[in-house]
Amino acid sequence: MASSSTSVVVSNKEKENKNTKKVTLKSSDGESFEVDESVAMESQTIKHIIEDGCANNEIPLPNVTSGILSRVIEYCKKHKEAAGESEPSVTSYTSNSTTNPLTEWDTEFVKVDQNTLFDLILAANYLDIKGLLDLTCKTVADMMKGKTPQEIRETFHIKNDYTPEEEAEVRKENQWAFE
Amino acid sequence: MDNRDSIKKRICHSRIISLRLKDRISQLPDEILTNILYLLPVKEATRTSVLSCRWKNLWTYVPSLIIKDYMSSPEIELRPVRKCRFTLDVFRTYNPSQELTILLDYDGTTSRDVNEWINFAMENWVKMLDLNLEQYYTIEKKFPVMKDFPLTKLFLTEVNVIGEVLEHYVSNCPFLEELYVSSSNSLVNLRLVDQPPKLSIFQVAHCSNLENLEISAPNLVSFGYVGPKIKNMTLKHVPLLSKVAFGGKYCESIEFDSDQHASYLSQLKKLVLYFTKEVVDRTLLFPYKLPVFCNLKKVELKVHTYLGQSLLPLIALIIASPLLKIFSLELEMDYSHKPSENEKLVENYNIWKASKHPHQCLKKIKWVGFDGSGSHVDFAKDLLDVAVSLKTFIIDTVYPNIALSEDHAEFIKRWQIAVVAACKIAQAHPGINYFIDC
Repeated sequence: MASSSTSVVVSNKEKENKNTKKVTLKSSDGESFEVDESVAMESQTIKHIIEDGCANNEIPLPNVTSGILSRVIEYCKKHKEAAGESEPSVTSYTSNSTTNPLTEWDTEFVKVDQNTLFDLILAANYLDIKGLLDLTCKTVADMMKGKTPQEIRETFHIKNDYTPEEEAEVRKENQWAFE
Repeated sequence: MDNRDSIKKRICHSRIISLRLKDRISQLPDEILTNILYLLPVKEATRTSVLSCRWKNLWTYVPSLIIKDYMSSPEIELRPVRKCRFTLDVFRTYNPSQELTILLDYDGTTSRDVNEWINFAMENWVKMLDLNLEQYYTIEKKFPVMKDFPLTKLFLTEVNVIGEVLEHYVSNCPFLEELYVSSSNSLVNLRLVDQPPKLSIFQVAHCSNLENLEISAPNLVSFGYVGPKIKNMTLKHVPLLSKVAFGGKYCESIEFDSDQHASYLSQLKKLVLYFTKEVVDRTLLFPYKLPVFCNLKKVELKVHTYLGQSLLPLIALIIASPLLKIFSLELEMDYSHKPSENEKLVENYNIWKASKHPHQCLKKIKWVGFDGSGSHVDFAKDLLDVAVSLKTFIIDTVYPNIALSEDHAEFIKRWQIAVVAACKIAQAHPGINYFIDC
């Protein structure tokens, strides 16, 4: 039967609820970041650590510097806020498709120098944050699109270590791509 | 002294320069570079093979589909929209992966026979085929197909295919588990009888000319139909069917107690009804008689409705499902619709007193799109009257499209009304956990 107590939870999505669980993330250079557990769990890696009970409230992340970690946390916070609760019950064939409301924010987020971008990729990979990995990889792909191999080399400072003969051979093998 | 200083400076300077110009992209692990390469058009990805030795074979880990048309000169390059692309031309360097997906995006600019490359692609490890042909393309010929494709999922969107041909294809896919057909204008009759044997999810949507649909599938678990009313829908022998979704104008005329549906009703665990915008002119929100859904545990309704329309008839679903645990309602409000005289008459049509039908099992109600208006408050009270064992009531006052279409002040006003009304309801009906999302 119905319980005798009533609870009314009015949640305002913009404010942070005082009673949510927090977790501390420690960067490779020793800085600590306290975040909501739900935000930290945007990272599958962290999620597994917490679920396995190995958290102890402070999780060391030796592969991520504080500068990058703070950006990653920013991303996770923003995306967690925006994430809706419900899942579509029928597939996309029957419901309206929605555009990502965070597209603009994401675009600004990845306007960084190359070093930071690659650090973000590695962090997203290590922390297993799919959205961030997809976003950063797409950014790199966009930097490559429409460029000749030489232009790509220049953009990313790739050293061509083929001998002229080797390069010619590779071009010939994949001739159809160079036509 | 000076020499050493200047040498030191030069060394420091060159170290700094080399740091800045480090080739970080080549240092990324293979799987990340593969991720990046598949976001590029096929040819561009292949061209990276000349960047440096490191890049020579990276692109081959990204399968891509290119069909060389030996008859006419331009080859079709299929631009991937999502995951994988599949290389035929450089077959020898292909690295097969277990879960290969092909997504074909075709703009219909050549006369290449789609049938041929579907089959050609199917010959090679394809597990999931998702065809979305932006221009309507017709698969007509019964092209000889290879037996035993490993295909497990097939999505056909805006691909004109007649029933016979589709039946022919899927009968050659013994591993097919999921079939989704959407927006095929030539689909008139479709009979899937025991073929494919493993079919577990089947959805048909927006096929405006469909007249006859007959399904007999021993492993079918989930079935969905969205679209206009069809002459004949028969689900025979579907012993595992437990989830059904209906949407569109078809919802106007479902007769659950007819032969079309009677056979599986007692198996149903989840029912989804999607009343779309086209149905908003109906006079009664829920016109049909309902049988008893003796196993139905979860109901999800997505309803396009107008201000003032009585939601009471929806209670019929709850009353008809004695084991119902979860009732989920999502409302899309049309604030510009003016009810006709007929509709106004119906507003006063009280079918039953909700309080006379206490429901013992309903534990959770979720309502998205509550706006605090008269009919919403009335319905909430009716729900609470019926659900005597209710534990959780989630009221989400933010409705999907409203914030985008109305001006901000109007939105805030409606939102405030909604939250206040929701809180009032909660106070008046204690003993339940309310979650009011704003």
